[in-house]
Amino acid sequence: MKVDVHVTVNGRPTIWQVEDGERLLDTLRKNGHTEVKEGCGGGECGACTVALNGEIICSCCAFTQQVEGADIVTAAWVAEHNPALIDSLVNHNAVQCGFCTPGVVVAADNLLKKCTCNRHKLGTKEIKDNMEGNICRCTGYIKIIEAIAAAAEEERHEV
Amino acid sequence: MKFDVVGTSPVRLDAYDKATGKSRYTDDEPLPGVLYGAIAFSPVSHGLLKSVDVSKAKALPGVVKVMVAADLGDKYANNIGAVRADQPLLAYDHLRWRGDRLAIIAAESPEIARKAASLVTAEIEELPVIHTSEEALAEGAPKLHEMGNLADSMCIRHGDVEKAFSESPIILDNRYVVGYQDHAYLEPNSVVAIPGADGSLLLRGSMQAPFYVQGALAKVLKKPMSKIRVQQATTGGGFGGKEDYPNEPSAVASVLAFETGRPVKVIYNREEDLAYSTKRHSMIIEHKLAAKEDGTITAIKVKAICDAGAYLGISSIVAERANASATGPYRSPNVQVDTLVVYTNNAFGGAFRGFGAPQVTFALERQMDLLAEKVGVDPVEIRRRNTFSAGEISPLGDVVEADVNAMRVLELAAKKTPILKELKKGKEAHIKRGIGLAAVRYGVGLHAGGQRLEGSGALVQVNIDGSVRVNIGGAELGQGAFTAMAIIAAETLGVSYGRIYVGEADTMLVPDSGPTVASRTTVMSGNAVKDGCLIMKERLLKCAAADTGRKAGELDIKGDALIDKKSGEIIMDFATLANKAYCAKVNLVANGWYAPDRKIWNKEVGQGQSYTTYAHAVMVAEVAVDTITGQVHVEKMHAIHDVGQAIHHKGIEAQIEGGVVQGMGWAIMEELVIKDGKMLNPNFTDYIIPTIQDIPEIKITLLERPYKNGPYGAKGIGEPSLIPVAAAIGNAVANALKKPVMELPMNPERIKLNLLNK
Repeated sequence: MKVDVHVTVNGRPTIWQVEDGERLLDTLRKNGHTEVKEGCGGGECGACTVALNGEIICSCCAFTQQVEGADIVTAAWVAEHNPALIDSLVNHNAVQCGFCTPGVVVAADNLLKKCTCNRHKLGTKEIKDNMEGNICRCTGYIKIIEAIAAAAEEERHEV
Repeated sequence: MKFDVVGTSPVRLDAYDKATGKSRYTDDEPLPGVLYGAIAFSPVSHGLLKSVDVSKAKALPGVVKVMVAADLGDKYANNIGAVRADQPLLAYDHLRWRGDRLAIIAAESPEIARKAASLVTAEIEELPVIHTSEEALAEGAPKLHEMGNLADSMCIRHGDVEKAFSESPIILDNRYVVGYQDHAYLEPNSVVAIPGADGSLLLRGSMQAPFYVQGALAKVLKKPMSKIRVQQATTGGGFGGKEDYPNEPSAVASVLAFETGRPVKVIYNREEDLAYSTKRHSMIIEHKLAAKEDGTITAIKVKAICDAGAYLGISSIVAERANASATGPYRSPNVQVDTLVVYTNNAFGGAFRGFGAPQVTFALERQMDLLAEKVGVDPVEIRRRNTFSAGEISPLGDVVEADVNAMRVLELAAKKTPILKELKKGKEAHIKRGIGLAAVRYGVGLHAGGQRLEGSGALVQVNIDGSVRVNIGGAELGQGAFTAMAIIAAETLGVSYGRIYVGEADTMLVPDSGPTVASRTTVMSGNAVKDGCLIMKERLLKCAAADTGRKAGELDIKGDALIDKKSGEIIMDFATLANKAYCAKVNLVANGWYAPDRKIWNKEVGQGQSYTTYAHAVMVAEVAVDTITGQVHVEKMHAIHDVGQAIHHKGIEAQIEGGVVQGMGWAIMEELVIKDGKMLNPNFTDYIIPTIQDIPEIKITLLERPYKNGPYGAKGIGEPSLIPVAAAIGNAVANALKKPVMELPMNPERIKLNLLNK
């Protein structure tokens, strides 16, 4: 039996009709949000990271029925609203195979929002602590850290 | 030499699309009418298959097709072996490992397909499991194939090792055991097969070797290769894991596609990918080294046993590189190497960044440190005394190339890293610090044994608006190959990087260019792109000469314009030139080609010209070992690489950083736990790979000395970045603990056991 679930995805109110036990990841992908990737299906790799009411989650670990009324943000939204972050990742060569990148983008955007609110300088340790749920097998993470730090610096100067 | 584009770091061609999520990987492509494939894998590691019952699977609503071996009939060939016809597409009779397929299923959704696969049952008579390669070689072991369990072997015979052993004062005879590694690319194996009405097939997927897939499908489908088109979709990492393995899901998808007349996707989940895709081989390496009192090596004898798993796959080719890498950058007048490839019921050994070299490098470089200790010299000095120089005969039987950089990278390591400095002692007594070094001589491109695959093509098309399209036979796995090709094309044509679009690898556009492996793409495909662009440029200049009434030799293309070479005067912009050429009926598509010189090779004694050229590297590791928990912290890695000429600086750094971290994962944390042939940890909770919290600080030093046959002087970098990592960390841990390190991975359990051993 299908159930209606009301959500806002990337700023657009939407009604989804979902199967019992459908994963949020599958619902998003079925509805065209293929920027959300499945890397492990077990909440281990972070490729399917989305922001749910301002907190990052692995969308493979949520049932769509659980997120009734939620505000969901994917990498496509971040691309539109935080192009400086995308520029920084791209300019630092922090993108290789790219499969983890949309998840990294959502998690990094979330971190940047938090640090902009507190207006503090973002250190390597804080970046690592907030990005540890996103596995990347290509870059060795160094360029990802550099890119996020640079994006944070830029935002700090703008605020 | 001064370049316009080469050596700069323009934004990768694919970076924006990937970062914004627009890039379409295989499972992202919308495809009406698509079915989903699933596989029922063997529930045993070794057994006789009596019968398969698919009645419950067939009865499940939404299931469209279920097939077992008998259903392949005469229409399809039941053989998917990459090198040897030893592997069935669908199992019958003999089950040899957990990755054998009992049945394949196509259904309306992935959930239904997997549910159906779980309903497949079989009557099986279990057989004793072969747990190790040594067990497999023991007398009386059950035979996995008619030929026995020794699947293949190769050797090096150089001088007389036994005589040297009897005459040398120092002998180091040790046994090293190294574990498997999974590639853990973030995108699991994914393919989609789209059947054509005329019996042709379009196969798209995540892969490194579209031409391998094309060949494998032609065999299984019994169709001419001309009817099989393979396109590489955007690929979420490979590292060797998508060299030959994609042949298998591709064949499954294609057979189901022809049987149902609908497109079929086969998308592995992580558990399937971890359990059934290929792995870096686990190896046992017996290493005997003899030396004079001053540490000069007199003999090296190596027996390397590779656990291939149940089928050969491409293990022979991996073993060929292990065999050729066993003596590293060192001279030794007497060498005997035997590399054995052995069938077992374990995980499927295959290609993985380094291709057999990381394992033998670990053994050799540990031996070098033990030799240094014995002689009483430092780790740099022992290598200095043994590193060969230009003009010498290497243990592989070839003359060491004139521009050999082995000694240069070693001296850079001595100068730029703290390898020769006294380590600072930590405050806490239970934290032991150590430093270690390892060197590698990496043969760029395919070994002489596989040189028939080395030829590489490129297609260069100039459009009337002045835009340029390039296609190569190599694949973009994330390493940045397409970006490197755009740089080479822009440099050669004299146009800006932004004009170049590099399209996906497609068997219908470019001739068979071999696999995207062996750190060969920048050199081989790069040279092909350069060749194609030079042909195109010559045509354009000839046309311009006729148009302007000048001599072609006086003209050049630079900065997106036709110019007078001498005065630099701009005659017309590139788009105008392209349009004029089109109107003058100039062929605006050029086919570039590159193939290195033929290498002479004697397989019987393992002597000859093994590789086209060599890239040298030295890695220095600084570690802190917690003796209470057994945890190894890799604090800093120094990577010194001979890269020829860097094509894209940031891209090279990214390759090195990624290789170092992946190598570190293998060295200290990644372990496939296999019990009776079954992988017990097929998930990222239990198969642990490095996270952002685990990474060391990485210092990179590039030695840029252009390689004469590389495009603008480039060599390969993908694999040398990983090969010496575990060896350097192993030496650093041994240095920290003052204890021998003989096994990988150096995870906390092994370190604690090591500390308990007196």
